[in-house]
Amino acid sequence: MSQTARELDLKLKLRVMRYLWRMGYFVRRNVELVQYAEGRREYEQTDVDVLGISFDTKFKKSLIVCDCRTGRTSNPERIFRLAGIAKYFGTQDAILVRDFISETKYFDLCKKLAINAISQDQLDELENSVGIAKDLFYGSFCEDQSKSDGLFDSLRRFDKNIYEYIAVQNWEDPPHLRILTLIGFFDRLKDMKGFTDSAKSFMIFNTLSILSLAFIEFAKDVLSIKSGEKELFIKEGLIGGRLSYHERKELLSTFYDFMVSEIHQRYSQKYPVPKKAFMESVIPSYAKYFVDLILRLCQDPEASIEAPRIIDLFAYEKVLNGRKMNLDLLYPNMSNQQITRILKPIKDIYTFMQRTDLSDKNIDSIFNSGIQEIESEQ
Amino acid sequence: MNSAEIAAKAVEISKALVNTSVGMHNFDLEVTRSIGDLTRLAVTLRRAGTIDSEQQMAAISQALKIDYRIAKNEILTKLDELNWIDIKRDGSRIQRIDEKIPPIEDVMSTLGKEWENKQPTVYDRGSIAALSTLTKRPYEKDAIQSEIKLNDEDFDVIYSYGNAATYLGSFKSEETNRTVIWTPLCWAGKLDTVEKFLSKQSESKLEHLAKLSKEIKEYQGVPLENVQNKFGLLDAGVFHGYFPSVTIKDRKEIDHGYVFTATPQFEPDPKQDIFEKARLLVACIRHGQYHAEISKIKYPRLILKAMRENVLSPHSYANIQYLILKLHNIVDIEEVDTAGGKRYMVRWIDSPENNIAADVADMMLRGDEPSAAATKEVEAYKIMVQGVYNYTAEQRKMVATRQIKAKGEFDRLMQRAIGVKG
Repeated sequence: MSQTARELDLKLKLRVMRYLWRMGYFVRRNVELVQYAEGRREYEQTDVDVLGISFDTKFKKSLIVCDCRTGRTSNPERIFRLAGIAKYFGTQDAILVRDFISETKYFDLCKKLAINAISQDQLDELENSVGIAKDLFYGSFCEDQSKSDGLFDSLRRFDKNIYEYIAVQNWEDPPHLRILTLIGFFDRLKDMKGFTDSAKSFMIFNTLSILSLAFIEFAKDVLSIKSGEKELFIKEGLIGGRLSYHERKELLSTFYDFMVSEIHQRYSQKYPVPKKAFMESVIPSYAKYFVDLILRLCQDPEASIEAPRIIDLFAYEKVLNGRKMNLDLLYPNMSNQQITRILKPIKDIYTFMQRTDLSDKNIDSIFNSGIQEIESEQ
Repeated sequence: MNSAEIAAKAVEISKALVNTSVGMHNFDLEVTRSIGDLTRLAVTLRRAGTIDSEQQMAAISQALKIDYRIAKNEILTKLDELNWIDIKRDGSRIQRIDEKIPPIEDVMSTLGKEWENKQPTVYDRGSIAALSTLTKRPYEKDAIQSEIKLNDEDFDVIYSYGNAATYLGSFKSEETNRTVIWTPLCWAGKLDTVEKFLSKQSESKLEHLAKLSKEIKEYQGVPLENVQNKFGLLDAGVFHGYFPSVTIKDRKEIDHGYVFTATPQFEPDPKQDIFEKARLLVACIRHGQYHAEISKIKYPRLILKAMRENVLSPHSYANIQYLILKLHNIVDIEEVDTAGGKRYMVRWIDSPENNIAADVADMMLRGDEPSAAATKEVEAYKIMVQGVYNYTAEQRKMVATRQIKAKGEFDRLMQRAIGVKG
């Protein structure tokens, strides 16, 4: 594909991202679907031009996948491909966007495969209908994608595992696995040698926005649990559920008994750690803060589902593009009271980050100044 | 003593000092009392989300019997400094409080460290150390004084305060004829009988009592017959009320006793004591574990969970096993007809008191030590859960304060007033 065609495609993708963002979706561009073998990337199966994720007030996730190309609909294979991608992600929402869609046979095919086919004109109309300013691009769909693309390229070179997980694998993993894995990345991201503070901050906020998606998804099952039982449910859920929790406990218990007996027999010494304390390592040390966070997110689902997108704005607007935080981009006519309510889950997520030592002074400063900017606008 | 234990004892002392008048104890025990009140409010507010108005905050403070002026100017300010709350103000009025108080273990250990940082007086240190030591067992006066390293004068002051606020007491040992210091906090309503029991114990028996308490603490609600009754101490302890116990009568009219360690009690009416309700719950479940007629309970915590969720299957023995809970308004028992004949269904009574008691019972079944410090206080919890804080006549009533003095307090007061230091 020529450079010009790629650039035109990019513009279309950014417009679609902007539109989906306005509809309440968290958006990402060029999400690869990759075949891995023994942890190594074997080959790229395909990619999703635009992936959108949203949540309802019961924390139920909805996905939308989009194929965006300039030019006419000339290739039915891409329509079938898009249908396959939608099925792969388990969604019924798929959009095919082209400059022109003039041939009815493609409309019929799209309809049969439950794909929405829209042209640029239709996209114009949709944008007008929700009051999107034509020239306003920001966040993860800002016009200059070179900065973020460059940083992700550097990340791929610096730490391939983190890159592969954030860019590719995390979209398919269950929420508890995403949480455990992504939390483990923060220390490595803070320590990235050869990266500027700004670059590290961007990566950290980007990772936090993806992590917050996992928090919301995790919280879905917690909503319906009786309050006295939520805490244990959350702790068990963090390591994969009740069965996994009990299996690990059993394993650790057996290991402990074996170790105590071996130490006693070989060295005639007592293992200093009591069994109860040893068994506590079956769940991560930050589990108590995680429980608190999830319970707080469950207190106000309507506000909590906005958290990933606001954190995404921190990454792209505040850190990457050096602009002041402005929630008008997300909520043009929101009252002060509503904004205050929306900010609470962000603060709770950030408090979790601080208590789990995921942040540092630099990140704290960015976050605090961003919150101040939002609150001073009220 | 670790930081969490310090905070726990500070809570007990501050609760004992509730509704006391102005006096030197406010200076001598200032650090302990302020940390105690801070801990109580932090535990109460935890997971409340948002306090929507200053009026609600005042009501919570009133329910905890903490002067609202102190709560507003001192406690909330400190919680804000710790980054545990965000206060939104409109001038000098509070508009809203968003809480983000960390888990209880963090609250206790942070505030315990804070107690150290505030340079506690010798009386603060002595009171905390004395209460902590005496919670395990009573000690002769000389022994406890030596244990907590206080001279006579200082010990007399902390004893005077403790005695006036009823968290310290003394009696003469019939065995040794010496003065023994103890903490009556856990035995309100049974002080005389417990004191009588303790006064008959020698030093070795008191030591054994401490060991027994430690054993029972690790498995609350243990059947009486499963505990070693050396010196007959267990039976005597239960008889005199030192070890709270719950008796459940089975269908053959045989009594089964389940024994617990005592917990600090601050409610004037024992029936309002959350820990008493928790003990009843645990005792009923232990009965099912050890003395059930048909099938024995294998997973006690799951049974408690099922009871709270109203998913316990109807059972022919439920009306016997859980009768005591019905009498204390924890559950209802309903007769139902099933294919197997008449059975009894247990229905949980969903109230703040019962839910807090069930949380405490769950802690006991887990083998954790339930702490009065870490448990939400019912009246304050009701305000947050039920939003009940209309200014009723009851809430408007001003309560007469208690006098509390220390030995030589007037002399000390005069000395301070004229500027004598030290």
